Amino acid sequence: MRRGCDQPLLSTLVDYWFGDLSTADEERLEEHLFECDDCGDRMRAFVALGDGVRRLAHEGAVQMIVTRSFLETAAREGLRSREYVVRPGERVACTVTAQDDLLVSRMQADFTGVSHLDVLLQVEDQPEVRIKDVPVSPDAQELIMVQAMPAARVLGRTVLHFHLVAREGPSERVLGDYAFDHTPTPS
Amino acid sequence: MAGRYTSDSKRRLEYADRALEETDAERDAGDSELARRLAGGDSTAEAELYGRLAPRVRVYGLRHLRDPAAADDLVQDALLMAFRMLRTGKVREPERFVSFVLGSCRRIVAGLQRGAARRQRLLERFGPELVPAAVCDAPPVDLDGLARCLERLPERERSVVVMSFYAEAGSEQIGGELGLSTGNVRVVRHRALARLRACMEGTS
Repeated sequence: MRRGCDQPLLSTLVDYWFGDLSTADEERLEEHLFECDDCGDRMRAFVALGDGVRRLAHEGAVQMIVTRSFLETAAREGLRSREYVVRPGERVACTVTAQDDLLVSRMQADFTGVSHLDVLLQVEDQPEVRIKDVPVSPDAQELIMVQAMPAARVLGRTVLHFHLVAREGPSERVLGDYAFDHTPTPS
Repeated sequence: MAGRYTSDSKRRLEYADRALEETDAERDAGDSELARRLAGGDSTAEAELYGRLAPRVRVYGLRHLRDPAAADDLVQDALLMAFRMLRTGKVREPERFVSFVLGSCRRIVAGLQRGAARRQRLLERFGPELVPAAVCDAPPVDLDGLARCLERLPERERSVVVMSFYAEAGSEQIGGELGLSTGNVRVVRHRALARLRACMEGTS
């Protein structure tokens, strides 16, 4: 049983977990993990971290930009997603109930040619918040945002304005404005 | 969600820079020595060797089977067979017993991935010999703290981390869905996980 080992690096353990190592490197690492309990401990800590991320995602605990794969996984796990599909310029009445597991905004837009996307969020008369460099495929037809459920559950009657903005060098181009007219559901 | 989860765990994300820890003479006995003792009929070595190997087998199982219950099954199946063969003199090189166990794991996982109903057959054959599970996993992380750290990540990094762990999507799929190259997904993921670890350790 080895102690005091600091190899391989965390990045190698991460690549191993996600299947990004070559077969030969994977086998070498597995042999090492079977002999080195320091690295085994690090691997187990990493697995626990990933399990924590998975649980938080399952609970919709934080705001996240996701893709359809995420929603498909949530559906397979039996989660109830309340989804609002909104086209540019639209305003939608929305809420969240005690039975909902996830609250999802699906903002449709044409992302063709977009390399950098920012989301501007304004809640009533609060200062505008800019979420920079949001990931989206140029082929996507919508930006899918899972709202943080702890915040959504305590949100009072509020209008949330989202603006999708493509950054192109020094200039910006608005892809769409979306308004979510939120009304709490009595529990 | 504050207070819903126990908060107990910077140490779980410790890296490998700890000082040598083991001082107890019995625990200092190497895996090979334990295997030789067990092969020679010293049954007191079995629990110690099991305690050492079970966590290693479980991580291997989690990596390849992606299911905690299946990984627990692998621990039972692989060690049960390997110990039985060791006790009955069928392991030619007891000093290389750890490699033998890894080889057994690889064969069992390959069988499972081919859809073999090996588990049921093993249970029927060896059920009465099953060793009680006593696998020491890392304790679960402090979820409240992890949620705060996730919120601090840049949006792109949070998306890649969540898609990686929750949707179990590979680098190529995530890249395709988020408009990133496969290499970029790996870079973003490495950076994000390093940030998460540092945040959980309170160093950023």
